[in-house]
Amino acid sequence: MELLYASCIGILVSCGVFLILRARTFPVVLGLTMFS
Amino acid sequence: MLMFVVVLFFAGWPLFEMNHLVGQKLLTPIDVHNVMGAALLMIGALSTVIWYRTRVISLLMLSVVGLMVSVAFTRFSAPDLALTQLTVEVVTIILLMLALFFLPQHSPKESSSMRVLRDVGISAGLGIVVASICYALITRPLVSISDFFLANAKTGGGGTNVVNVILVDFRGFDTLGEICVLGIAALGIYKLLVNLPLFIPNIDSEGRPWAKERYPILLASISQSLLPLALMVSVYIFLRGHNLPGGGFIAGLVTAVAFILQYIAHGSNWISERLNINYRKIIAVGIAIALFTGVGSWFFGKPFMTTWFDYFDIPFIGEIELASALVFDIGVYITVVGATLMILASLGQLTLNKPKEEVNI
Repeated sequence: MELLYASCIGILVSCGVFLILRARTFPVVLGLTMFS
Repeated sequence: MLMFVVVLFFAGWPLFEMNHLVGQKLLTPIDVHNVMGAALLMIGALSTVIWYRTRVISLLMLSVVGLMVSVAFTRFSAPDLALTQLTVEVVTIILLMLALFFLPQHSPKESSSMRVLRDVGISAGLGIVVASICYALITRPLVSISDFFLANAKTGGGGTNVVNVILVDFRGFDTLGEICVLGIAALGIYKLLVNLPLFIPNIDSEGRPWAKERYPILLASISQSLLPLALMVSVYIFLRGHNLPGGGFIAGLVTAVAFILQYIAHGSNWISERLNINYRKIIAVGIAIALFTGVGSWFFGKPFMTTWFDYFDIPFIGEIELASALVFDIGVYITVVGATLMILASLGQLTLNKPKEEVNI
């Protein structure tokens, strides 16, 4: 359970960071939302 | 990017020096529902990234993620957070949809494959680091300050909903700061958008014209009959907040969602004809109520933000509890409604062809 929970957070962080690194306003906003 | 690399390095390095990632606590068993929820969440997150160029799809996938997060909060016994997350999610997606109307519908393909590879590397690394830290933390026994709040919420704050008592009582000053930030953010958005001459697109990026039929009659009639019900629900959530999941912040968001639905169903003109409210004043009133509730305790010789509560017997209703924190919560409620609606109205006002003076924000 803990592993599942941690990996969910990991996926969200990865996707968020990737979108932030796109450096276009809209993906960055999406990325920040997902990151938070 | 540099920031992420620095975080990756300094947070990742100590992880290698740890002997055991798994702590001493016994792991809880996995069940089917949690796995399915987690799978939906991951699929949503990955789809957001995969289709990030088609912005509408990306946004829709993001809403799946938000929904699954609020389901997770419910599952792990955090109903207050779940309610907040659910309503915040609705407002966020609607506001992003509205902003998307003015933006290109697609992100151009501009990163080289090298850069995509590099970014995938950085983000995957950071994801693994954060997941490992999280895993290491939750598998270790933890002594937190929660016990203090659990023990003192009823006796010290007069409410059984510990989350709400923390918000309006123990950490009331924090909440005051938060609603100030919310108000400032809303004012900032208003200030940025108020006189912005913006090109209003009448065709989308592929040259298809936007639909002429503006407000669907079905939605309009249903949303109108839903408004009083939604307001009633928000009052209910507000009043029970001190003892059961709810409170001023959530109730404010529910009210805001109810009005946002009216905006969607009828448009800004229709609303501003019927509901001539100056949202800036509402925000000011909300913060003032919260502030003066805090100042009020000085008159009784108590420190700033001391709360008071007592129980009264009222005929036919029975015993009810009155708390000064409730007044503070009204301030929070009003600020949240004002700020959310002002952001929406500022964005919505851009779509009007009427002169700016006639629209009240």
